[in-house]
Amino acid sequence: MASTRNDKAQYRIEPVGEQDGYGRLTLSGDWRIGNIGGIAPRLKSDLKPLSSIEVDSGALEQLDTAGAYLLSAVIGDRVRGEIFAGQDNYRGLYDLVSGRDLTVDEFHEDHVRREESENPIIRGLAKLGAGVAVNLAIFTALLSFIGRTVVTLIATIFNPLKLRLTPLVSLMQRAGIEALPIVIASNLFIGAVIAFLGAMQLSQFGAQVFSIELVGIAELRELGPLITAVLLAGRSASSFAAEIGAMKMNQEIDAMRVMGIDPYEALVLPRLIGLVLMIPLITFVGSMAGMIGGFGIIWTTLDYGPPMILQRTLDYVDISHFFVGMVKTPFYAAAIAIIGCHMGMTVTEDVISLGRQVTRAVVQAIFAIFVIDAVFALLLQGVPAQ
Amino acid sequence: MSAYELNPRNDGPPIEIRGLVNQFGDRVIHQDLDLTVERGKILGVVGGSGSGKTVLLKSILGLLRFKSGQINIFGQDIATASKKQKLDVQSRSGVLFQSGALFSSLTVLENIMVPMAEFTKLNRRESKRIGLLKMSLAGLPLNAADLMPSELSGGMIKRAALARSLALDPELLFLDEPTAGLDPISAAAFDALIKELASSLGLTVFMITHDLDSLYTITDEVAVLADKHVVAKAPPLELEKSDHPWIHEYFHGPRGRLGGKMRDHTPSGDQES
Repeated sequence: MASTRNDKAQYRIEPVGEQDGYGRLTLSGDWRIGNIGGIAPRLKSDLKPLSSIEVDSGALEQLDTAGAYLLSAVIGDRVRGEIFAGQDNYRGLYDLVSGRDLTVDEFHEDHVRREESENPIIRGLAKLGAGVAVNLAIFTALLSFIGRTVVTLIATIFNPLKLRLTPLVSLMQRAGIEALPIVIASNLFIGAVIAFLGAMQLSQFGAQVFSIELVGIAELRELGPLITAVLLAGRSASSFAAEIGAMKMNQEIDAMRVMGIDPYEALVLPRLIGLVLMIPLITFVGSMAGMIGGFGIIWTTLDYGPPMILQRTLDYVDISHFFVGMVKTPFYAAAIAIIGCHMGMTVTEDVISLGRQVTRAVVQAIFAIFVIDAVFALLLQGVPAQ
Repeated sequence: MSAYELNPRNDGPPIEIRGLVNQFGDRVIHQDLDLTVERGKILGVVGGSGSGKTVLLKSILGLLRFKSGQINIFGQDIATASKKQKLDVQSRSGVLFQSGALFSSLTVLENIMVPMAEFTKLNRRESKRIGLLKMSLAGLPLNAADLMPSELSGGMIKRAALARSLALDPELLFLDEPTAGLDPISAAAFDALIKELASSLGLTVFMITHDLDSLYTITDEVAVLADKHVVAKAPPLELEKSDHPWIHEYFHGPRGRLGGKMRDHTPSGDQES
């Protein structure tokens, strides 16, 4: 039993008679998959000089397909006499695998060759080319998605009854109101950091009073909208992609289509409109929070009281900064919603693609936000006119 | 049915369940369930939806903690087994899940190589070759080796999952509805494959199925789960004669009769492959 079992796969080779190249292979021990690692090359080189082999397997204790396969691959057609005579179970196993060695071997060699001997430069180029092709396809798919969404949007504008109010309101709640705490907190911190930096640097040449304008302009024009949009991209682009992607995997999108429900109308549009409606409001709250955070720091570090801060803000922070900040927000929202929904719609059946598309949604949405910001910064550099 | 045993070890029947009780909240799934599967047999497990077939499988596999009772696998009580003993049992059994449960981030061949990488010291080259051998045994075309699971058809997923469950030459194979979702031709071919592998590798098979054709063509015995325990365990031809209402309905209902008729026209099921 277990204690007396010889656990190693062992073999012995001895010549038989006077004849050259005729030998006996004596097998013993446990020739199962856990024990035969590394034995194949050794056995192969030991058997090389032999042209016909007699196999004595009387002492063989255990065998499985892997062991049988190894033997049949190494011995090949050099068997003399009968292999596994009287051991029907092993014989059956051997016959089961031996017919398959040639195809398996051939395929394996081919496989290894393909894997190992490819020119690295060509492989790199092929990868690059495939990447370019994939990204082009992704880009055109995104364009056509935007096209479909815009067409659906226009159709809905002419026929507003088609707009689905319940999901719209629910999304405004989920993507908008529920994002407020994190937006307020982040903007508070960023406003405080800006005020702190401004106060520290500007006071070196006695211009610390300008840190009030710095906070006001930076928050209203750039940071408020940008921070809010990045947070919403992290929150909403991912959840849109995951929700729609999971529905896609579960064939819910197909089910909608066969019922005559347009998924663009039912899923994409409420998300797009909901986010576009909510983002200016959230941004406003965010900008205010940022200014409060900044002014709080100015009050405590520079000792300018609230009346002074408010007066200076009213006098020197032009209202146009606020509008420059606000005008960008619907574009941010559209980018977040469209990229999130698009990534959800392009999820295929496997789980991996869901994760990949959600990641992509967030990364691309944030990237799009920065691009939009840069474009607006260029377009609106003359506002307000000095 | 299986002609012989490949590597006999006298350590008790592959599966032995005594007095199993499973309960979720107030809902009792199994009450005093007893079931023994003998070595080399192919056991089919049938039962209505919600009769606890999957719960039974999960209990045996140790994926679910049962309330009371005892489950021995190869004589090893799985509730009290040490980690090492559990690993030993796991390396001697293979599972084919209903949906395949292939790892979606790995290719077919890599999926089959996972158990080998975990349990053996084979190098990559050797395990690759053995993986390809298993693919060939499971009837998969070798050029599917580099495909991802998402690129496979339903039948190929089942075959790939079968190849993975056979990776370590298990003595005990669990199949959860192996032919569900396959067309009748693929299902028949898959049945023939399982039967052939079971008899040539000396496998003990525990198979949950709804497929009457599978029951008739490949099982040695069928265990019927009803009323929270195994109400009968017998070859399908004997079960036909049972007067238990559920079993009677199962074999003689509109679909059951069809299964019976088809069996009469199928010579023996062996030469299908």
